[in-house]
Amino acid sequence: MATAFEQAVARHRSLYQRLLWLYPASFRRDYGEAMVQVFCDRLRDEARHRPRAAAVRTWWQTLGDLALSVPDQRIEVSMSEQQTTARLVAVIVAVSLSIAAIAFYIGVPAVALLAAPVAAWLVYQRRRGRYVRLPGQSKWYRWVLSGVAIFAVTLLPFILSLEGGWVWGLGNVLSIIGLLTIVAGVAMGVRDLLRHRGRATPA
Amino acid sequence: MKVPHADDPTSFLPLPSAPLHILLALREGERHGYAVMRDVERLSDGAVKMGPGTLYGAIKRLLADGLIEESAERPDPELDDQRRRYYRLTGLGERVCSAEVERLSKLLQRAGGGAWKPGRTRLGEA
Repeated sequence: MATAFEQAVARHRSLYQRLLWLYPASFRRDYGEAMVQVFCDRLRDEARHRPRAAAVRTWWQTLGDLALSVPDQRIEVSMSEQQTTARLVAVIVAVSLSIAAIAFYIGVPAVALLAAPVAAWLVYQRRRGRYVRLPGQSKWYRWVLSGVAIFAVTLLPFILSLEGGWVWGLGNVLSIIGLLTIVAGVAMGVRDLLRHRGRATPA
Repeated sequence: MKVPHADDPTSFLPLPSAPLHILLALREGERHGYAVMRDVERLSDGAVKMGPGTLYGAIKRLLADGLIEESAERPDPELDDQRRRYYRLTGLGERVCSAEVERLSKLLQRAGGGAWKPGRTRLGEA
């Protein structure tokens, strides 16, 4: 039969468990049970040293902790979701513009020939249950986007039929700079991807 | 800002207060959550008190960075609650912790080396 103290612990435990709903679902799923255990450990420990003030002291600390850590976790989850969406949009736009720009220069059949092995590799990774993830804190996609923007400017002489003269020469120089920037961005992305693979993963 | 990378422990620095204290507590051996919390209080003479949310928020980041790992072993399975989760430092966590302690030591040396003394408000102020 549970003692009066253990019944009181169960009541406090139940209340704390309800407050855990303030945290994001993923955090609660991963650490909720462990947090409840820590809370009960603290309550029992306080009761051993200061039986009368145990609940007040534990809740005082716990409420302060909730006030700080709930917004912290909420912001973290919100930021990571926003970053993932922004990166995905950036990469889709960058890849689409790159393909369009390159197709303009070398023709659609040649682009299809180049894109086929990449598409085959992506399908192969997907079938093996792997997902091509965007590297964490890299700025590689900014380089790719900048390169695409420079490259897009070089299309203007073609569009405006300004062939020949200094505009034509400048366009060629810019197109090389744009391509080099894209290559540098892709190289940074590959480097980051390899680094992420090399890093220890949590158990 | 440097991108944290396993080959360069200094790329993780400076560590925020909670992760640093957790790493210092785990330097003494593997611990479960509440033991880490008590050790942090003991190491800081009661100045740093973590609640469950702060503790596991920091643990989540340390696990993601590969600085600590969850341990499957139990010091004494007979006595301990099987639901408890134990954590220990990884090799990288040890190196990062040492690098941060060294950085703080150097900072303290510089602060105590005449450039700054308690009571002064600015570095180098006469």
